[in-house]
Amino acid sequence: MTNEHDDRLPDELVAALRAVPPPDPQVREAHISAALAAFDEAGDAGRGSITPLAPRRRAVLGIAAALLVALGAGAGYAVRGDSGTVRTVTELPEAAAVTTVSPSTVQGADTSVPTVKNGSVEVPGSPVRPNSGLPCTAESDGALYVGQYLRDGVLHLVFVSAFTIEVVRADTCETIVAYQQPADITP
Amino acid sequence: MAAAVAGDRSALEQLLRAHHDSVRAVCFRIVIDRGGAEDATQAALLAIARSIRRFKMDSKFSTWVYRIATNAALDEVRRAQRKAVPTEDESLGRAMPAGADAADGIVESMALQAALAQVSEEFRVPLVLFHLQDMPYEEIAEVLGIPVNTVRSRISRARQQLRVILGNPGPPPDRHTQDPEGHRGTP
Repeated sequence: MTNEHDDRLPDELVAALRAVPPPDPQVREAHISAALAAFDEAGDAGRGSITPLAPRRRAVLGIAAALLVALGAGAGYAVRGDSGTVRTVTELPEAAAVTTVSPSTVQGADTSVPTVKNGSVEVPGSPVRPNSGLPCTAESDGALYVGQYLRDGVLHLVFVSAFTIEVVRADTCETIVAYQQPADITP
Repeated sequence: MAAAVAGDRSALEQLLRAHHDSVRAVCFRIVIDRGGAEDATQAALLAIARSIRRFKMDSKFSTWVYRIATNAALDEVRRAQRKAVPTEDESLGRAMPAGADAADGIVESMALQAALAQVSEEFRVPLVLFHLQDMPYEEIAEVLGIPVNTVRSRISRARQQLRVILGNPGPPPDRHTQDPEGHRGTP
């Protein structure tokens, strides 16, 4: 056990801890320039996705988003193809295992998983949730929040817009992965 | 800040300039290695720029920024650990001059950085946020997503470890303050 007197750091140690070497001005400018470029790029991408959802595209992306929520704890990022099977189209970053699953696997998943009816995404017990009440907003006005999952103790939010499914960390609003519409899905 | 969230590039630039050095300082003390700290700073600024449109201003902007910075720094620490290549980086203090030629401040700073490297990230991160950023326990708890009491105990453990590592196990001369460091935060 310690008391608060034991818990102090010597002043000179605190001072040393605060004495961080100053940044190189050129590196500092490079950091800021790169961040501004990323901001511009993100803005362009966001504007590009504000498009009404065609029914088929909405259905396909909705299914993919629902699967993503269902499998989000570490499986793959999947979408239904024309063959009726479910296939993984890309993998989550940071060593997420890539798997192929069957539709029946998904049907047996958690009942809170969103489903697709008549071309629109539905969350059991409620319509597709608006973005209010979430810690992060959607990137674009056209994006819808469809579900969430917990991974490594971090809440992940899943948004769907016309051309993308996006997974966002709820604590920082950072985009973990943004899946673009695959080429074999036609609106 | 609201302007940056709304997409104002110049407002974001001002924010990035205002926060760059403090983000870098946090990264420097968490990552330890200087090159890695610069990488983490860049990653944090990129994440801020890409995510700011999603920021809902429910929490303090600085809290959000430090959460991103901390995540970026810890990612860099884990990446370096995966590489597991012994470093001769002098920022770790291994190349500390033996004689009295070097300025005391530099030697002390290097010794501190070397000592910090031996404190586990779990304890190092709240210690850095507390002493480097004058952040109250409550805000550190929000940044790290852990209870306030856990923050308090981790900081205490970090101080104990630092004192042992630096060979200064005793408390400093008596100071009659409620808080261990005599400044902000709920003791």
